[in-house]
Amino acid sequence: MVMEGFNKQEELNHYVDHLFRKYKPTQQIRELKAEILSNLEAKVADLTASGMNDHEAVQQAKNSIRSVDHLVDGNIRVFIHPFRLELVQMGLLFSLIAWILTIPFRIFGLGVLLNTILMALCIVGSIVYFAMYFSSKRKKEEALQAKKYVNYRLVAKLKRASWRIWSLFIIVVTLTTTAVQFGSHIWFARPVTIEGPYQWAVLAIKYALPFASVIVPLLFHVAEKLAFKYEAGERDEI
Amino acid sequence: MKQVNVMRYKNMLIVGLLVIGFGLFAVVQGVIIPQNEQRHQQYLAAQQNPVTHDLSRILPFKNRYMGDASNVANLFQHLPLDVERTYRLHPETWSVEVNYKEGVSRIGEERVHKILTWISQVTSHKK
Repeated sequence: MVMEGFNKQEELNHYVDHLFRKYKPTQQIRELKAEILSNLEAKVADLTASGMNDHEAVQQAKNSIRSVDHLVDGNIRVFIHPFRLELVQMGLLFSLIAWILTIPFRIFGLGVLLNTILMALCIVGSIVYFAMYFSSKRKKEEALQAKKYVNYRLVAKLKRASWRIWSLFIIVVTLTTTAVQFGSHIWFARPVTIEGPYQWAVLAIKYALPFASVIVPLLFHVAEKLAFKYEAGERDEI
Repeated sequence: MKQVNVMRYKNMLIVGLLVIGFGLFAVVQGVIIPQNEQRHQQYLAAQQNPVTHDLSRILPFKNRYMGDASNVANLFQHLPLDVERTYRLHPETWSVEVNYKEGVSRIGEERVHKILTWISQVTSHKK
């Protein structure tokens, strides 16, 4: 039986595109895609040769490959609930430490906006974290065993990129602060004087404030560690 | 089991840090900053009185060159009698004329006398 308007090649192409929709067309993905497509085509050819109609053959071939996540290089299956929970927990801990360390800066009238943002982040983070924590307590065991693929290569790449961007940010901000604080000595020929502990503290705070942004690369660092910590192994249990 | 204990320990740490954070925030915002502000206001008020005026405030404006108009204006801004004024420099007599745009009766004759005596003392040039 030949179904009108049914093109098995187009159907297979469409299905393979659907399987790889999450992935960028890198060299590895393109090769894998071509391999999967040729496997499916071979399967359909076998099935039709043995007397099955095109539509059923394509359906059966599609059923044989439901996901390609496990074939993609760098993908690991992780227990997604504890992974997310601990990531949020660590993010909250970092934010709390940054918030507490920057509270005394308010006395000097410096970093007030940053401290307020960190406080808001801590409040929202606490609500989100404890909601996740208590809901995970109520969830059934099977729900907690849910697994998802995380690409550790991508996470590692993001981690390296975030450290690089952060380092660059710190260099630029430190140089800018130095230019603003001490530049007048050069272009206005007005000597810079730092008198007493108060002015030293103000200067130190101006240099220290941008370092609070270390939370961002640290979170990528933690995400990579947690991906391996919660990787679903042979036993598939936490 | 070990993981659960670590999670619990971190939860306790989060609660502890939240308590410390809000406690510290309350102390800084509710006690230290208002006290500092009050002290600053008292200090500023004291600068309007010749008896309590802080001399160190005007030391940065000690200058041998009288033609520096911004220095002169800054010097008088840091002296008592915070009222609108204009300046006139007399280099030939090495003096500055200050015209305060406020009636003596409004400020008080005795107060004006005390303040002007103080100002003329601290701004007079001694070789």
